[in-house]
Amino acid sequence: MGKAEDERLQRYFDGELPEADRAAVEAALTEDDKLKLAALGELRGLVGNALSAEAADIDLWPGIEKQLGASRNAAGKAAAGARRRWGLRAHPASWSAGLVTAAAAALLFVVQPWHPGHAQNGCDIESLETVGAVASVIHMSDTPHRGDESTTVIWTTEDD
Amino acid sequence: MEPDDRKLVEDARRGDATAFRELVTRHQRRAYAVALGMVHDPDDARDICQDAFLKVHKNLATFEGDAQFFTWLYRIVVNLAIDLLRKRRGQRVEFDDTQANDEPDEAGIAPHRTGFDPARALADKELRNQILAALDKLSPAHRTVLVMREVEGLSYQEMADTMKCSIGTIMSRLFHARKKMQQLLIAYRKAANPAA
Repeated sequence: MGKAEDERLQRYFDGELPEADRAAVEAALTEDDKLKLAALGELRGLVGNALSAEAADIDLWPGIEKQLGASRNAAGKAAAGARRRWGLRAHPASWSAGLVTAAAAALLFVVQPWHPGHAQNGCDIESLETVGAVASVIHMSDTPHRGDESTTVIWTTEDD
Repeated sequence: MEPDDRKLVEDARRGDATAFRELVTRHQRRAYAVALGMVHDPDDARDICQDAFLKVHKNLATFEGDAQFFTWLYRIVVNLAIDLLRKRRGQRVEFDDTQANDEPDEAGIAPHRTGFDPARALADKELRNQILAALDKLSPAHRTVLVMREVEGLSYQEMADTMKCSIGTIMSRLFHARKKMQQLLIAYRKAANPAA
């Protein structure tokens, strides 16, 4: 039997023949063919069982979990670095508290509820800085109302 | 009833680490068996599988719902293994069949068994080592198709897609891989038991 016949037998063994061809091969199987099919089945069993047995005790999760954790940490550090470049601390609560305070101070300065007769008052916020969220500074001037007078408000936020 | 892979992938996409762990637990043995069959080295096989699962995790959002999860994972494993084999062989064209077919084409599958009981391969470490050593003597192209077929039962079309070649090439590689493997195991059998 030549290579072409063996390849056809192989396709039969692998279930890769169309049904009509499969029936034809089955009808023409010789004793030699049956022995070859048995040999192919044995080989499949040997290779499959050997590799399955070698893989039986494998546990990849600890290594994968470690790598995923390292990736998350790296991503966290990258984000923290980005925040530092923008002058913000890693802990969101600390700098967001500072920003909220700054916004409230600015709003109070504009509205000035203690001075209701001057609704036209305006102000310029000249600078807004949050330095490490330890201290925040807002520098304001109220030119329409107070001439050249300027006011600086400094507040502190709790460090994490 | 256990959730299917698709549900686990959806949950893992939403950040459910337990779901992703279940995917790993469910598929790690098959993935490792394939990788080990291809690269022969347990540490390399482990690294390949870990890298494959990490790639899967990173690209969960791109997973197409109508695909089989393991087919996706499997292709990554096979490609990582092929990359490693190429590095080992110093970029040689080891997937060229012309240098891998060292037997005359007219010699077909031998019509007799090796004499080893496949069930023995589950318990006999020495036999397993011989089988792995025989696999290692195949060309990477032949070893890859043999493992894909005998361990995973991939179709010719799936193997052709994975290895980016024709079905005819896959059939030829598989034929030669089986023939060579059979010869190696018969030789081992005779060496181990000359009276057999």
